[in-house]
Amino acid sequence: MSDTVALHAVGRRYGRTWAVRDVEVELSDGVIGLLGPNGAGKTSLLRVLATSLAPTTGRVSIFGWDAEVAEQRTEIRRRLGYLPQELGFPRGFTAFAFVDYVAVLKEWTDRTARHAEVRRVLDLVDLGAISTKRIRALSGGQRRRLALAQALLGQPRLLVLDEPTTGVDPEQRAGLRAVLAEAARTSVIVLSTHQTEDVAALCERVIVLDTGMVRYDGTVHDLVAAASGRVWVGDDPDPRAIASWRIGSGRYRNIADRAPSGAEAVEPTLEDAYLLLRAEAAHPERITT
Amino acid sequence: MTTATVTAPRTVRSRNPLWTLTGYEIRRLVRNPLFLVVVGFNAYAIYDTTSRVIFEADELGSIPAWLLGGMGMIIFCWLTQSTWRSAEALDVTPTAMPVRTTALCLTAVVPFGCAVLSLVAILVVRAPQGSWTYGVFDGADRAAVQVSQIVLPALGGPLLGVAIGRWTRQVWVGPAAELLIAGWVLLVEGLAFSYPDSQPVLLMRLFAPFALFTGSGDRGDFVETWRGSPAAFLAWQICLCALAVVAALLYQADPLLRRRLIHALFVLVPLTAGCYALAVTGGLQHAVTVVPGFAPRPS
Amino acid sequence: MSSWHVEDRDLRRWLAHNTALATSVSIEQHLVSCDGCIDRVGALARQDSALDAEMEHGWERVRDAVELHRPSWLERGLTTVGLPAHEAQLVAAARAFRGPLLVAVLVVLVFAELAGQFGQARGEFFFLLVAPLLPSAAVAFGYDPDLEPALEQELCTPYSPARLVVLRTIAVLTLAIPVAVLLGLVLPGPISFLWLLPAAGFVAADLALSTWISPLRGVAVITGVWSVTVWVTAYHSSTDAALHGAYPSVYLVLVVVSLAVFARRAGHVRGAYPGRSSR
Repeated sequence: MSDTVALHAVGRRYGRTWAVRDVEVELSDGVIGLLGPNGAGKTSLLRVLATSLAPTTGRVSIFGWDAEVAEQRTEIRRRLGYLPQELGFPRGFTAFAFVDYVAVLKEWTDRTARHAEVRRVLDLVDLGAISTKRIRALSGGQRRRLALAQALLGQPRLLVLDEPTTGVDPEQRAGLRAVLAEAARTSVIVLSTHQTEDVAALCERVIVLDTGMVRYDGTVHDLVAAASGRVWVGDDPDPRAIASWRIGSGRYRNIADRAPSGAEAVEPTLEDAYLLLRAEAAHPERITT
Repeated sequence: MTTATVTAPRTVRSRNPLWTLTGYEIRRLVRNPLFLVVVGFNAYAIYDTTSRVIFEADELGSIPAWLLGGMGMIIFCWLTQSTWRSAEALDVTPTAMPVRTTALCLTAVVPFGCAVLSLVAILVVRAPQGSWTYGVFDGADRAAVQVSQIVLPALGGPLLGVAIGRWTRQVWVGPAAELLIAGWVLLVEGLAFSYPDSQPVLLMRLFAPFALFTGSGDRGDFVETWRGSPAAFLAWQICLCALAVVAALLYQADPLLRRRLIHALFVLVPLTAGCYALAVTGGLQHAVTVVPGFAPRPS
Repeated sequence: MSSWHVEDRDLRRWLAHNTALATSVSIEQHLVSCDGCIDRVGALARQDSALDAEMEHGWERVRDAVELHRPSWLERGLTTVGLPAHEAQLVAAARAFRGPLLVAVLVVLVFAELAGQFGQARGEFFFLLVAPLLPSAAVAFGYDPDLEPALEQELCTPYSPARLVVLRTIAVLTLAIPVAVLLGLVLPGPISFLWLLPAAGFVAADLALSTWISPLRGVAVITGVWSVTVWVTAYHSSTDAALHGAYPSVYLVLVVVSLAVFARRAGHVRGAYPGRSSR
């Protein structure tokens, strides 16, 4: 058995549109961030990884098992935790009842052990105190945490999380990062998010998707380093900048190859590097070297 | 978030959660308020009718059929549909959809058990006006009528509800299907009263998951026994139950299972058709009226 | 590809519809495959404001044909009877007007009518149990909040929820009542039309109840009460006892009182502003 998750030339088409195309990656233990604009194919790729969707082309191999083969797919699902982008809940369930139900489907047949596990994951996401509340009475952020709880059942070997921090407050996000960082010691965690600070805090490796293809696959450090010397803060926006926006202090942050007048260079963030990468992909002629 | 243990406790997991899941679904069913109302009302209605003299056997059989069978169909349909909102997460668990469907089908043992208890209650405490309340049916046919009217609908209705719930999402489909079946049964029963010997009416009457075999005057002054074989009709109902299970299991079945189910259909469909043919051609060839104190005569 | 291109003079004449047929066809054939000439058409058109406006209008019509929502048969019918097109669009968006649901309600009503016609006492009982509830069930599907995916966005607009509810109710009844009346001619006796009285009462009652609970829950409550009423009256008297005696007056009173309650509490419809009237 292998310790890695491998996607070989994976593509997924909906009608005539390719949502994902020619993705070739190998994932091992740790947290891998998946970044990309809306419509880049992140959710489709995650659904393929989670065996929720079959790829149109290519092959998915998870810990040595082939996701195309039914029995092996079941083996994969025994080691999988999946948080979809939008998860609905059955009517009339309490938080505990829903996670308990999923635990049964994950083959936790021993009642005592199952309930202990349900309580463990609910405590992990800080819902232990309100586990008997009806789901419809929970806030959006609480429902998101509940959805995460069911994914954490059984300490899965592969965790696929589609925007896990959407609607979650900053304090809870910090807690979630701690949970994922600990889990990453023994699991492969792939998470997609629009929050670059989550990626920066958690991930050693980041994959940037755009129009269904991998634009960058490497360490966060290298991606950020590519933006070094190209991020400036000044009093005015630079019309020639690749990206320019107003920051909290009232000044302007610019991503440009040359310093605007009166601007000083600053350390780039992952967000800067991501925007630079996107701009380079969209307008390579605007980039000067 | 708390610093609860990230590491899951080591525990034994069964590779076959079917029975655990079935227990879970049974608990969900018995806590369903609508199901509790149905069971309670069924018990009360049987008590009420068995506490007085009955003129015709079919007076009793209808109650569990409509309640445990008809309402049971709606309840099971909604139970099945209730988890579709979480489908994206549930579908990637190791417990495949057919296993989840099987658990729901096995849950039908609860209304089935209630119907068996209803039958026992009816047999024990019923007060028939006389032997003619069963028309001309003897022991075996009489038993077949009782089982087909009291027990089988409480099994078939829920199974049909699971099948409908698997293939549809809209909440109104279950109630609409139940009303259609009820309307059909009542329509053909009424036609049987008016045309007891009619072949087309016989075909329509028995082409249903539930059928009456006797009719009576308003004052119980006669009982009419209609055409058709109760035993074969019971077999037809059992085949319908099997068809409902197959239809439910076909949803998201993997290719191997789907092949097996289709092979099963190649056996089931002819068998069902054969039972229907036997039900229609067997039993009485003409309707017979029984009047107390007189010999039975053709209607 | 040919190196010939249309001259500006000819293009201007063509834009002004001032060329011979053969020349027009030749120019149009060329334009199909020459991007450069197409660009020049735009540039020349912009030099003439009237022509520019005409071309702009033409493009607007192309966009309308591609992008605009196509009115359904129901919207066209509603606009025919005088409802503004935008309101017809709001009304027709309700789930109650989805084909399968309408067909299901109609089929159930037909079966109930047939059962009532041929099914003797039990059939009549079934008809009486089911038919009066169908209009209110169909109406409830028209505005139950749980069935509306964009409810929150709707509630945050100035459009009155009560007005929407009333319009949808009228639309459902306008579809249902003629069909019910036609089918009622099949059923012998006064039951054919008397059942419309409780039906009207239940629609009004559900409107009133929807100011407290969801419409589908309101229908569930009404179904329970009506089932018990029909069963008890059939048990103690005759199958259609719930349509005779004092009952018709009760239904009329129910209509009046329910509509009054709805009018008074219209601000609470669809949870528009929980706890307070939106007026």
